[in-house]
Amino acid sequence: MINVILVCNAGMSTSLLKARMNELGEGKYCVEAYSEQEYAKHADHADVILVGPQVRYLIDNIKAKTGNKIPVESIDPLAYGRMNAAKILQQVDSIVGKK
Amino acid sequence: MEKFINWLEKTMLPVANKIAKQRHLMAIRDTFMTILPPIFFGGIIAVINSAPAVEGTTNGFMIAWANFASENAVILSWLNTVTLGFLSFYVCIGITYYLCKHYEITPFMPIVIAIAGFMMLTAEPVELSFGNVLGQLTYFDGKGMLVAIFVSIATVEAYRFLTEHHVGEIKMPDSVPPALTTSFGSLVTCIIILAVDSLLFIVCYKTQGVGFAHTIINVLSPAIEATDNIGTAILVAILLNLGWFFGIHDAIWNGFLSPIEYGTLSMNAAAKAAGTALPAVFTVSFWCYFGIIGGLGNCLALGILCLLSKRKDIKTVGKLGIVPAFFGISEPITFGLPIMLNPILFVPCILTSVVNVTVSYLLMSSNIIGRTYAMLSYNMPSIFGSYFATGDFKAVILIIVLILIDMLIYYPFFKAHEKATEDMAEE
Repeated sequence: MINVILVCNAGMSTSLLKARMNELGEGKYCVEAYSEQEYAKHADHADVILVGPQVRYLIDNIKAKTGNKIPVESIDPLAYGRMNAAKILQQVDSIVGKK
Repeated sequence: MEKFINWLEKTMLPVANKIAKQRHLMAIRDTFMTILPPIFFGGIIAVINSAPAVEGTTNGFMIAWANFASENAVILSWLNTVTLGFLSFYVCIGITYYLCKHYEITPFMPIVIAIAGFMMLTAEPVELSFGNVLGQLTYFDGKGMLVAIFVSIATVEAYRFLTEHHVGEIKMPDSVPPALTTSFGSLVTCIIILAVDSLLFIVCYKTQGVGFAHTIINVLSPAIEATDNIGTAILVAILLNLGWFFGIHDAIWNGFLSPIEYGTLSMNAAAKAAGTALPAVFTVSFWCYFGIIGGLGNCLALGILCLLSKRKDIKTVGKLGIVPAFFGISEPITFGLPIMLNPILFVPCILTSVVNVTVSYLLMSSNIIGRTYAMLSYNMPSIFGSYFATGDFKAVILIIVLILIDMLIYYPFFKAHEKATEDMAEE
């Protein structure tokens, strides 16, 4: 099981994506969406943190806050906008593969 | 163009990151993000309190509503005043809390002395006698916002400085219970801060005969009034949408913008509860219901165009994005079409908001359309939000007209975008 945390400003637009990713991931992935204020509480057992492209300026902060232990990347904007869950799961796989 | 965009990306992202990390701005932003319940509650009460005119109606519900509102006007106005109308008070607590959290200071004592300081500096004594305390709380609304920000930040910074340098620290033997150590240990620290607050109050009261907030407002009122004008509205429309065009969330602006736009809203709410004319036009509900219909980039109008498109891929973007856009979430269309970094849609992305705020501002400042005094939620569709925020049915018509205008503005650019991406049509 790969734990993925999605972060955006209020956890609103990423929650749209979360449902699609969980459905498509068929239990192989556990995807959760949190706001910028909340994610840190849940980051402990995350394998990957993906941020919405609109808050990609937070990447450095998130890396620092999680002690540089978890890979943090911005979601591809087009895939994000078109809610292309398959492509984003590929992104997750490639990050996890790199580790 | 691409080089220019790359350059901007490289220079803008670090700036956005710095703003996002700045601790005071972060505390202000977190405060306004979490403080919504009293704003929402006050907004609902304001909606109940402003029943539409019933002359000529036979609708039983409308008549019952109007009667209920007029019979309970005092209660409803009071409930609205102590929630939305006391916004600065809650903001003061919020900033103190979040700044303490940032510094990893136990927030209890700083919050207590920040509230005490806020009371000293914003409330004004009217009459004090045995068993009788009368105070003036006018500055608890948006007018006291600057004082709330000042007191909360100054309190936490002073508290941190004094404790770090062990000024006035009282050492306790280990056998003393920890709760006692904290309250006694910080006793002198807190007294120093409260003494400074008192001093500010005394100076103002002795020289001006009024409280600190009142004095500050007297000095700064031209500057504060200056923030509520059409220029500010247009500037906000340009800056926030410009950021959005680069795919940067408007949350980074909130450290500056929220105190202004929530401050004016709270002033309007207080005026509404008091039955006087609403002073401000540019409020948070003005911006989010009238300025950006369907989220930044006015994605409701653009979403409708996408839905009407003959191109299958663009239609899909419309189908995905239209419902979120209706609720003010513009990410799917912004990134899916995309608007972000798409030079063709740069002009309308900004122009639509500029037109929206200009038209709305002119109509509201000339009192043709009611001004805003309530804010329900960012995700309340503009069609409903505009009515609840103003209590004016004409506002809903304005929203529909603005959506049509936005569609017209977007149309030629949208067509150009379709043409430019023709080769991507069938993937």
